[in-house]
Amino acid sequence: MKTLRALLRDGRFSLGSVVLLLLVALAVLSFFSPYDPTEWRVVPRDLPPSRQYLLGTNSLGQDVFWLLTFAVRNSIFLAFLASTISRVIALAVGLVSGYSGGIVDRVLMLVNDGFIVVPLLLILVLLAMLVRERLNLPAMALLFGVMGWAFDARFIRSQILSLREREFTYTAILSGTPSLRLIVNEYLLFVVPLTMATLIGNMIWVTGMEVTLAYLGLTDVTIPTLGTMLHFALNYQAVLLGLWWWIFAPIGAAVALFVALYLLSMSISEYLDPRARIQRVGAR
Amino acid sequence: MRFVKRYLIPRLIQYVLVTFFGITLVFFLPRLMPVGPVEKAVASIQARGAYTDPKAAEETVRVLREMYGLDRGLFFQYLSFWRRLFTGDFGPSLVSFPTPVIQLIGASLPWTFGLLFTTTVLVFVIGNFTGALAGYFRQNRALKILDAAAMVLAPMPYYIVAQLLIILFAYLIPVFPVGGGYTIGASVSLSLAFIADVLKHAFLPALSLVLLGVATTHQIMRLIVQGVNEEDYVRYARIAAVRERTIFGKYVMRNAMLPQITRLALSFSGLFGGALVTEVVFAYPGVGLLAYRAILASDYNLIMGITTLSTVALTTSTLLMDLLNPLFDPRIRLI
Amino acid sequence: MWSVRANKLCAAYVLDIFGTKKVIHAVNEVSLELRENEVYGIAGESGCGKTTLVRLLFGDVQPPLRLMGGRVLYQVDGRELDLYSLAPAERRDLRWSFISYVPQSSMSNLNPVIKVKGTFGDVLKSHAPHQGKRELLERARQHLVELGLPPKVLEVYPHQLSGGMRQRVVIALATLLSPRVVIADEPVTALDVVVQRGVLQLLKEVQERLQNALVIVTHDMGVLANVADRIGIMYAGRIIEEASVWTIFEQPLHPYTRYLINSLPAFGDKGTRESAPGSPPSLVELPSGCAFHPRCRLARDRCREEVPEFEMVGDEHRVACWLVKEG
Ligand SMILES: Nc1ncnc2c1ncn2[C@@H]1O[C@H](COP(=O)(O)OP(=O)(O)O)[C@@H](O)[C@H]1O
Ligand code: SF4
Ligand SMILES: [Mg+2]
Repeated sequence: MKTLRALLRDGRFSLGSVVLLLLVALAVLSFFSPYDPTEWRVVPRDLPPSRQYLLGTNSLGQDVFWLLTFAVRNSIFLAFLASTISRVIALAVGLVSGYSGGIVDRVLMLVNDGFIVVPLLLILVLLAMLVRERLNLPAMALLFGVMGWAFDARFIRSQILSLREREFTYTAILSGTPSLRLIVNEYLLFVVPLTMATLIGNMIWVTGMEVTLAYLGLTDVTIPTLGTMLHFALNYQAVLLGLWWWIFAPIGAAVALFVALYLLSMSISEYLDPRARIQRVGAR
Repeated sequence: MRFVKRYLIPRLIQYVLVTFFGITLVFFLPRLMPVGPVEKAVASIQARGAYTDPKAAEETVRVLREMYGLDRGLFFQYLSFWRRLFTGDFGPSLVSFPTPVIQLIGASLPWTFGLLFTTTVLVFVIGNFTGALAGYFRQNRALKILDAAAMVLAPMPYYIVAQLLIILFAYLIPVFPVGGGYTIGASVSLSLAFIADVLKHAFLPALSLVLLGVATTHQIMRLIVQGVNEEDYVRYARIAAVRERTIFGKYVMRNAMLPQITRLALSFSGLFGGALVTEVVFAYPGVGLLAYRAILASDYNLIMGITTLSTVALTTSTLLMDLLNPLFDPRIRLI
Repeated sequence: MWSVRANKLCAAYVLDIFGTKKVIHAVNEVSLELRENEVYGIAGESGCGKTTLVRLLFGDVQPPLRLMGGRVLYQVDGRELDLYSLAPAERRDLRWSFISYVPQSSMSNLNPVIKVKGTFGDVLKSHAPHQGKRELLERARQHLVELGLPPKVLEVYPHQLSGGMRQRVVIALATLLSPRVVIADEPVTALDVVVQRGVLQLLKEVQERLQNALVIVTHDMGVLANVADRIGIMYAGRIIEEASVWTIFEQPLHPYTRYLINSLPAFGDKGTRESAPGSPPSLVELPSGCAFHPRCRLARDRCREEVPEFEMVGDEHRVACWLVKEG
């Protein structure tokens, strides 16, 4: 609570939270949508924004506003799920690697660096292409989760290493605290907040990747997300036809989501460790 | 000699291991998918061949099966993948059969190289310059505005910036072409007109890359300079009344550039993977677009070729960086 | 003759932590005098404000540190200068030529990417802008030889030097222009005992050669026993006792000083040592009255209410304690 109050005093944090809350509210609205987002031709086509159709309608005959509520919901859900999966992996690898050192550390870091050096976008694009038809949200989250942990595992490991330098580990080892308890008590409590900060950073990455893949037409385009909305708008030449509301709705929502998450992650990681700022910005 | 033993040899071993493991990942990851990449390629060729040239399609499929030892085990396939890799043979492209993959990549590389080399250098110079100033003169108004601009721009997804540029400068104010590498039908030559045409086509893609790159580099450099500015040796030089110009150049910048040089090497590694999204958005005929087309057509050989090469490019430029670093940092040179 | 005088110095760190203002009163009403040809020791537990005090004496005040009151006077060639009313350029000119500083954490005080001679050159250059590079280098070399340090340290990078040598090099750097006052903040804290002796000896030698004022700041009283002439004991931002080194060690009056002396390890010492119970107070909210009263076994009512005056009680002996004043 105290932490939250301190964070809220930071302008970036409060702005980020407000924007994020608005987006979440938008996502919640999707449960009250009068239309099924996968249905086409439920409303007249290509209408500009009006009282009846807040954000206009698109060339597929969908109401852009209600479609957007589903897109925002799915995109946030995907980002959260994928990032949670990759946090679990990153935390496990980082903790074990940093704590055990020696050969275990070397092998794990080799695997880790392997994931860092492969061209992630190309691989993701390739994998997405192979399973395009089955790429529903959980599957996509799994894909992003499995590919997106390596940077942060290294970060967590480095934090553990610097923590190990401190005295209390030695005293704890000397006084015979069993190592699992040690990991939980002294490390986990320390790195979990840091991991939370990386969660937000990773959500940005996931959303970016999803939009990229959808943009390239490599995801299941029947699931409304910010990416697939943009995909359809571009495919149907919304720009050329002057249907600006169709293209600006997903772009606006995506930019809002990015900026909100970015502000939050900057603020939180600065709160946790002023020196971590560089690593956070530089991570990707 | 301590340098060789404690720095050089460990780096080389690391390089070999990471490259090996990265490529292994590239090989196995697609095979963990429910649909194998080669099977997918075979299926798509057969489908296409059925109503174009059944005979040629059969031939391609036969070559493929043989090449990958599809009828043998996964491990055999893995070994033969490595064997071919060492001879630089990624096999023939499946879509442009039988042109070798390496030849297609070779033809696209100059385009990517020209675009990315120029933008990477520009980003490095501009971003580090403005970032360093913003980090050093923290109270300056104009620089604060620059900070704010970078803050908004940096987290923007790339394609959105690219798309906005196209909308702005190709549709609304049509001064630049919507895409492509040069005007279709123009004769490819070294004439001034052709070069001007190429530059004009490369302008928007370059601008999009430079804008976002500068925003990110600016932010990172600003934080680094702020950090170095607080270091004991900088504070001490200032206390000792060393001239401010000397402090900025010799104490702050010399140290702040070290991590940035490392980052530069990493961004050069992108030269081979190409800027996938950039090239797709602007239909720019580089390696990225080649990769995208390969993916759409399930051209497995081509994809593997590009992915493997860019993995090697990344590890190699990291290694090069590790080898160059001692030149800039005496702490590494004189262990 | 005095070189530096501080008069009722007060300073605080004013921090803004996510909108909450926090004021750390690191130095409170400190008055002291540094004289020609003496070694003045400042001792006290970590966090009591020693570094802040010497920064004030040196004139290194920048946010978040803020001067809240008091004056610092320098006596330069017979002229009295008020440090904080000088123009920035004048203040700069006094640095290194009149007063110089060996900061805490001096392991990282040298730029890691240039050779030691580069740093020496830069410092000399800024005070002698018209001298050539070779001349400057020669001056640096000569200075090192005078201090008995090998001149080849100029040709290496800081990380190639041992901790002790690095500290010696920084001392050489600080005394390059024969300043009248040298302040060394925890000069031996990071070093092991054998090296400590050598570094202290070097400091003392330089001081004897220059006949100037040397200030040694330390949290470890033992360091001062053999080098200091006078010692000031700091607690919670105040100097609470000041006397000659002999008096401090043999006839300390303030209960806190006694605790400090008693907690020093001694040879052949088997019994447990008495040390002050509890921990130093928060400088954000100082205890009322004598800041030491929560830890003082002899505290009385008055101690909790009024701050004891810092008063002369004997020859060159000042103490701030009700016990001493009231008997
Ligand atoms: N840069 C700073 N910002 C905020 N607080 C500081 C800073 N430097 C020192 N302090 C605080 O001021 C008090 C005195 O510190 P310092 O003078 O360094 O003590 P000492 O040198 O005796 O250990 C401490 O409580 C410390 O936390
Ligand atoms: S003034 Fe009182 S509390 Fe303070 S040291 Fe003296 S006796 Fe103790
Ligand atoms: Mg100190």
